[in-house]
Amino acid sequence: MSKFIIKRILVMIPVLLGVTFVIFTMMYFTDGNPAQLILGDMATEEQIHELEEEMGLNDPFFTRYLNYLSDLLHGDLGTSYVTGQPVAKEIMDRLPVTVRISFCCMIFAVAVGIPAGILSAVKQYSILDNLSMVLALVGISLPNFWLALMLVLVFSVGLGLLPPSGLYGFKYYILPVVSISASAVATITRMTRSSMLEVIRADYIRTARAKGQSENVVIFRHALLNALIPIITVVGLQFATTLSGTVVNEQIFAIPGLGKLMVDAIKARNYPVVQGGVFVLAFIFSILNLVIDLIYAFVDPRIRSQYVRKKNKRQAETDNRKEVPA
Amino acid sequence: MSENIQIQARKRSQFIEVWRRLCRNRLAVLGMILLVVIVLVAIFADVIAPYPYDFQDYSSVFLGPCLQHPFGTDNFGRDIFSRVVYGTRISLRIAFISLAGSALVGCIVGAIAGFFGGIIDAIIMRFCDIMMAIPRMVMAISIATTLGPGLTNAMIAIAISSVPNFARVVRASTLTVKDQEYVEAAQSIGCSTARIIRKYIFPNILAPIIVQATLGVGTAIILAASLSFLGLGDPLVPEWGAMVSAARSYIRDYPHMIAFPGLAIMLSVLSLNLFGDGLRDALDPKLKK
Amino acid sequence: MSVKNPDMRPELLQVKDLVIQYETSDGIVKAVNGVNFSLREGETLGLVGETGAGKTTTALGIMRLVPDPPGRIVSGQVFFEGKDLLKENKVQMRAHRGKDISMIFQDPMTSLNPVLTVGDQIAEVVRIHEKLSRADAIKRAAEMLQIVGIPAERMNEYPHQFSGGMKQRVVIAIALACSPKLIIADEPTTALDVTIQAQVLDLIHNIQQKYQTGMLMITHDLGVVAEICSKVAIMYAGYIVEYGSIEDIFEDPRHPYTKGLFGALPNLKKKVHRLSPIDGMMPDPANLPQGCPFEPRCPHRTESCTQKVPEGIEVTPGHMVRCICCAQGGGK
Repeated sequence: MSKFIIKRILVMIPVLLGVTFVIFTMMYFTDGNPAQLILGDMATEEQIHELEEEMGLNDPFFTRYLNYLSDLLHGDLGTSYVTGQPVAKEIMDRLPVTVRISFCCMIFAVAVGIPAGILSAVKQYSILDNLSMVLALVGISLPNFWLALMLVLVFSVGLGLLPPSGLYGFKYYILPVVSISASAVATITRMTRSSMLEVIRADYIRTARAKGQSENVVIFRHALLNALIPIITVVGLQFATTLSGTVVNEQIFAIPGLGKLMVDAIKARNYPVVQGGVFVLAFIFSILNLVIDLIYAFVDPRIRSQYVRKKNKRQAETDNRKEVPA
Repeated sequence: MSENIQIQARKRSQFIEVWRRLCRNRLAVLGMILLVVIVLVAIFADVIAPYPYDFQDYSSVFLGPCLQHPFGTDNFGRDIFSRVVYGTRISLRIAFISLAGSALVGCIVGAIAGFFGGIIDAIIMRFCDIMMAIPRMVMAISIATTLGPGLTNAMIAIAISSVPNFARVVRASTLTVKDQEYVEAAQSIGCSTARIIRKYIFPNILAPIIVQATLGVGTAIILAASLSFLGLGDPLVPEWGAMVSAARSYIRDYPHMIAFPGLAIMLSVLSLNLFGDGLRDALDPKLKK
Repeated sequence: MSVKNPDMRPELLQVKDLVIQYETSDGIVKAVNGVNFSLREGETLGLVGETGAGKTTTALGIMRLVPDPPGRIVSGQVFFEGKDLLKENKVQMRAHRGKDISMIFQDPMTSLNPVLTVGDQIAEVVRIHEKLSRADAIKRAAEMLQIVGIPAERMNEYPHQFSGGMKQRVVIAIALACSPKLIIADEPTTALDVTIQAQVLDLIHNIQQKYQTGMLMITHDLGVVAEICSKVAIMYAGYIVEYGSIEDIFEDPRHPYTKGLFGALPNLKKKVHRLSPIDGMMPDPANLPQGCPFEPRCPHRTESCTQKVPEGIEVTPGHMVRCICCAQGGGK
């Protein structure tokens, strides 16, 4: 197993390198002169030239990329144009909040989506099924930011039940988490339902029933365990939606997280912060994907066995050949 | 000759079969009708909208929904209904153009990767992995930031960020189809590679492409609205996301300014999702029994 | 094979007028239309017919495992040791499944749960029906594996590590684990390689002989029937068209369909110019003809065949044929 983890991490490295290259390329082609942006409109031509030279802006593309990469390896994501602070520090200050919110979103999405999907599949075509399917469809059709505003409108402005902004306690988490994870909940519900429906018709479910197994065990032990694989895939993909959702929705709820930092930076044309944020999000997403792969191997023995030593496999093959009549 | 006619008849009947199954699905029909209405609204926006989208009437600002202004007016006294109607045109244009772009590139790249395999496949797929390591919306945001605000740039950002999805779908289905026996049969009778791709592979991977495209338009609409909402669009144009964004400061007193553009986004995406779901079920050979 | 003697044994299974239908968007599919047969303890009944004749649905009907929706047991009775299974409640029915009646499925590749070890899957059925500790159930699973010819060490492996024949052995082990009184084997060898088929069939047959379980053998292979069955029911389009002892069917087939089945078999002893297949196809079970279901393909059809479905006629004691030709004495 540890071999598999190491292998998987080794695969992650070139991907992350590629990500840095993509981000650097985008930064390179971004319009606007960083030196100009840092110094402001009042700067003289000379000052700008000086700074350009100092920042290495006149070096060739690859020299600059290698410099960027070596900075990155030292944890240096550049300097914020606006505050003059290291971007890495600004991001690290904001990151915990965003991670906390994303984590709550995923827990919420899984805790609601999977049970709802199972219930829908087991009671196919019932009112409950229809209702949850309609809700799920609406859920994937809503833009997160609009749902957030509507929730604020109803629960904060209208009913006065929940705070519209800030992050000072449990109550403050409800609206951001619900609005960000709505589409994740919906997608997971839909996937769970369709995956369960497919599995429920499988022959081995019939075998389990033919054993006289109770319906609950059939559903949760035999069906769910098999249905879980595509569900896990979708849960993994939903990390992307939730991370993106925090970027857009944090500013609505005035949550001082990475998302708000990035959106403020976009508005101020503070590019190092934007690109640094993108890199950190991609990094987090890659790690989450790694975790998802590990969960796969945990759930599915077929995937697991791909990583167990080959000797076992050969053993199994010889055993198969030794098929002895009783 | 007669063979030709037969093939045509079979093709037609396959299409009719899919259509029939689609029509039996009530939700899909609902989605289809909604979609047709939305497209018609986009085409005839100037006929339907009672006011030009930028017509400002300072004597009637912040009006709630009423007879003259079914969706009310905004802070400049502009008719929100007219703006939402014109917004349909903008949103659909962004979504369709960006989708067409990403579908074209994605299909070609994906088909090449799937059909030829080997190093080409490995390079293309690694590149997709890199693109997909960045969450799609974040990718679109950073491309749009690079290119600067504006609807065309938003369109390009959406198109680029959607390419890997298409490439993956097309590659996966090409791989499945490539190993089918009828492709081997075609190879064994000496069909050229181009002919095999055109006549044997493409028709058989069309279904997942169509479904992906339908659902992709919906995602593109949401992406476009989100980019506009973040200020990466064009503030002068009545784009739905931009309208919601501009109306945010009035949420306490004039919620109608936020509600209607958002509803428009939701309805159009919903119709596409309903239709796409129905299409997927109708095209799914597993249900063909 | 002794057929006369076991006739004194008590009835194990009696299926009476079983009707099963599927409701689909294309209309009602009449899969099983008033099927009757019975089985004594230790006896083997062969249920023969082509694909889509309703054999599997009949078997699932007995187990009450017809997928519902779209399937529905419309009417009929299934007596098992005198109790009507169709009247049992869910809990009672579960107590029968796997314990009194168990089933060997057609496709071993998909019949085992891919994410559980084979040992777990065998132990599961033991744990459901017998008050055994986990350790004892596992021990029993190991014994069962050995009985079906698989080394017990392999019980911690997963189905994908086994070949098709080995998987079917595991399925058989599951079916036998609680020593059932009746085994329903649904084409147990169809999905296997020809060389493995004989092994698996021998295994099933030996076990059945050893433990004297009743068996319902579903197959489309008359060779299999000749080897292990004492009674045969020929099924066509949801009807049993001919039913009798193995001698009745093999030496004195009456129904044109049965005769057609034999005509389509290669025979080394007889010199035939060429095999004679049955012309035409089985009717669509969603759209059965009004009269005899075999009428469209029957070489002896008459006008009256299209009027109504013929009743079963007992031509000799215990030998039933559903054909009006036989009623008029023109069966041969």
